[in-house]
Amino acid sequence: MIKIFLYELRRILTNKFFVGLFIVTCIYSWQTLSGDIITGVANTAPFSAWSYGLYLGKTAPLLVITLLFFVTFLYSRKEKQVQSITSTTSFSPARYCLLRCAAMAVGYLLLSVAVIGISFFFYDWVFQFSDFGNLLLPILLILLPTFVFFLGLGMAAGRIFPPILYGIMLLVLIFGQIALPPVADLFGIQFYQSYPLTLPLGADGEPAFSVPASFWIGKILYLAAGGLLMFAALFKKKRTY
Amino acid sequence: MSFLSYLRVETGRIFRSRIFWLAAVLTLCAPIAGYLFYFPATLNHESSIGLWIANPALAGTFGGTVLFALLTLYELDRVYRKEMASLTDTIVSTLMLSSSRTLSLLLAAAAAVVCAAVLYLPYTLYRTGALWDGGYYLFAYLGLMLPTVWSGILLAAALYQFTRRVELSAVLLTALVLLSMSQYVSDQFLLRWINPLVPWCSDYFGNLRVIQTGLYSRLLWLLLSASLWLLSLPAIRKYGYGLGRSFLKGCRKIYLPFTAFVLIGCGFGMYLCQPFINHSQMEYASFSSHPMSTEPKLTIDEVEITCKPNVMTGTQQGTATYKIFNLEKEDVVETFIMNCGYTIDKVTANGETIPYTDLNNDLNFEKQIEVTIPPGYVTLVMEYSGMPQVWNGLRGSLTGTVFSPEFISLEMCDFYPYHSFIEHGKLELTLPEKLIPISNWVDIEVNLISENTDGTRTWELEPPRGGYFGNLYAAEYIALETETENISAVFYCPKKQQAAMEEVNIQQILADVLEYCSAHYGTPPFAEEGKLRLIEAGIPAMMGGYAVDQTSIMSENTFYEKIYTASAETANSPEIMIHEIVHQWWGLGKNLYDDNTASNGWSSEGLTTYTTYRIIKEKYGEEYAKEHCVDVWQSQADYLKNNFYFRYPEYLDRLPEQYAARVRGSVDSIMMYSVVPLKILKAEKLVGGEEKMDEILKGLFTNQNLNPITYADFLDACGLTEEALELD
Repeated sequence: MIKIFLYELRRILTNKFFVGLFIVTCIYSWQTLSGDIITGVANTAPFSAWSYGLYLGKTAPLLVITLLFFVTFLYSRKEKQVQSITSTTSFSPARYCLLRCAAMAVGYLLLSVAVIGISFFFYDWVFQFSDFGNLLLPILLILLPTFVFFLGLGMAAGRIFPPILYGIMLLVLIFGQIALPPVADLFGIQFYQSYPLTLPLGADGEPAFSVPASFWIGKILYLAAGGLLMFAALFKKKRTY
Repeated sequence: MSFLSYLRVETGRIFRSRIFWLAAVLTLCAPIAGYLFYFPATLNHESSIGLWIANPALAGTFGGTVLFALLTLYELDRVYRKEMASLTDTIVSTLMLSSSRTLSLLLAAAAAVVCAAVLYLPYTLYRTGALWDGGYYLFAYLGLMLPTVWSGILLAAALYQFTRRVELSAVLLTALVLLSMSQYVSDQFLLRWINPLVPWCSDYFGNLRVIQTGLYSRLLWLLLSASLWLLSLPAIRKYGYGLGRSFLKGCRKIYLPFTAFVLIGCGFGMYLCQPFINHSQMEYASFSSHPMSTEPKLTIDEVEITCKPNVMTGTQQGTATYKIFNLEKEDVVETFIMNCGYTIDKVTANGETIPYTDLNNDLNFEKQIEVTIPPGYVTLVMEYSGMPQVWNGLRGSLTGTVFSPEFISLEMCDFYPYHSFIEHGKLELTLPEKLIPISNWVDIEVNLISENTDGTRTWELEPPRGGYFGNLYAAEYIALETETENISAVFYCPKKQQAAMEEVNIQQILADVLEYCSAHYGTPPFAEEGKLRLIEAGIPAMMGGYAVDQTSIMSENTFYEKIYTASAETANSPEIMIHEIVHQWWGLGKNLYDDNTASNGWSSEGLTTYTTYRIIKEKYGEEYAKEHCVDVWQSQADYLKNNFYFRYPEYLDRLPEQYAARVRGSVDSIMMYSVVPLKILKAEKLVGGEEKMDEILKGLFTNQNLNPITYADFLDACGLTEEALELD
């Protein structure tokens, strides 16, 4: 099983799209940090959890697009042709699919590590800031629900009609640009810019990082929706004639 | 069958296809978005040309390009989707088929764009009325929209031919569209391939620079997309080969990659050698950073300049003749500065050609020229020519010195190689006969010296000895006189705008402002002898306004008819006009400055902004003034107080200079235009109200002391302390 997992992982990591998107994401991350984040978000420090949330929110669409590209590999024409052979093996298709999801998760994780690593380097280089502990919550709040939701959505959509995946990629880009209420703001781009302005200031003149219940509920709903969609895509049998 | 036969067949097929008609109809509908919600030409959104020509055409450009790019992908994938490729490949060369198909799509797109131009013509004519500009309309549809749609088709075809996958080509195309629309290229006219940069539209002063940059960028993208398309032709899959082998086989037709690389070379050449924007740093730097010589080694008694602008190309040819006395006994290398767009053609000293060096060290608008001047009395003649360039820091607004058939704007260094030791100068300027030059300095003599037979007139401008040429504006100006009890004023506006200005009774509006200021603060020193001059400058030169000796200059968007006919709820721009007139009292009548201006923001802007608020309050009511002035100042002050870099200035030093300059600029602006007015407003309450404050300000204005009014003077006059005016 590990052998299959490693094989799938290697297929993802050596794919030319992954390499291209990896480079694009790294460049975009640096530009976002040095363009939008360096002046601080909502009057907070550039290295506050609020500013960091916005940084991750802005880079998340690229991570999602990479993830959706991974998902397109599952449903490509060639893949379907190979499926007639792999399905004859004793290995459960659902387990095989889970293994491939795990490989995708590792690919997504590596890309996320690159995005986070670039930001840590930037903060240390420009501001000599290295207290990264308070940035953990925004990382979890953005990257985890985003991964689960779009993996589930992508798998479900790919199962129904694979070209929808490209439409979803386009929607992801638009999704990041429109103002949404906190409960629906998956990337948090609006939330991290506007919510801190409504909070009382602490002794250091910065609003403490706290997230309203509606934002938590939204993330949980996205996680649940993603989980359900993934489950449906993995275990619901497609009718064949 | 010949290529033309294939082209005829393909074109007929495209025109019979339903999907083409869908794309064409949607393209025809796309300009409607420009009327409803897509306003890319927004820097001056009240302009009729912008509202009724530029925005719809730019919406059509974007929509049409996306639609025809998708149509291209659909059409090119057709034979593969229907699994007919193996059949067609045996009948006709893939190269021939692909070329004729792409060309037929280009023809179809041209038909759709021409139809759009014809369709919207009557409505545009109706809406623009007297401001209709046929040349601009043709430029918008045929100069911007058509080449952009063509570029989209060629790019889509190229991407498809490389990838042979519709979805991947669509994603790559989307990435290119997003890149073009991203903030990273928003101020770079050459990199915006699908959304051409049209930052402003002028109703009265022409649009030559926008037209030139628009056409230049379209040509660049046509070259690049055509080269990419040519390069993709060998990549069309054949003999069952993949991309690599097909490409190598295809490259045997060497003229394809060769032509593609020639076009790419031309494109990059155009990118690198664009003549419109200079290569200066984006942050403004003072002249002191120029290594100008500070100790005079020579005197320049006089300079006579002859300028012959070519308004059709936006260029000029000039000759500057300097009478120089070199105080040294040897050659002296002296530095002149001039606009980065000019090149020196020849330099002679006493008739002999002498060496010079163009340092090409662009800074702000200028660069330096080093000239070796022989000892003794020298008649130095410099011949120069070229197109004045926009400062890189203003590349997003494309404003600056301009020569156009409707308007000429020249700053001091923009018409000749300038030197700071020049004692006296004389400029001879040949302009189209309808253009009348006006200098922003009131004491510069402007005389018509000849009416020429070629439809031009020659003017002579002569500043007093030791004076500067200042800035020069030339347009088809007419003068509207305004008289009040204490001050008279003359407003120079374009002849084309005269009826509209008289309709809104602009003279009365100006008189109200002048009357208010003289009644509240006293008459400015010039009122006894001369007139206040108000000059309307074209938006191609500047946005906003400024004031100098007895003259207030404002850009055309300050005077759009709509602003003065709007209700109090929608009026928003008389503030600029009022602000620049008020500067004749605060700034020019009395200067406000002290040693702590850098930290406390005390300058003429604060009191000018406060006075503007008072006039607005009187004219539009308290509620309007509070919402548009006081609330805006307060939100800016709150922003500043809470801003991280204001709270922790030590972090500013850690920022790279460009970001630090951005933050500092923002802080200075808020201090001057928001914090100081709020403090004056607070002082007004503490001293007992508006009338009391008016008395105090009148006292400060009529004080005979010639020194600038300091913050301490203001506090003393109010009987307040600095602490009392600190904001909460």
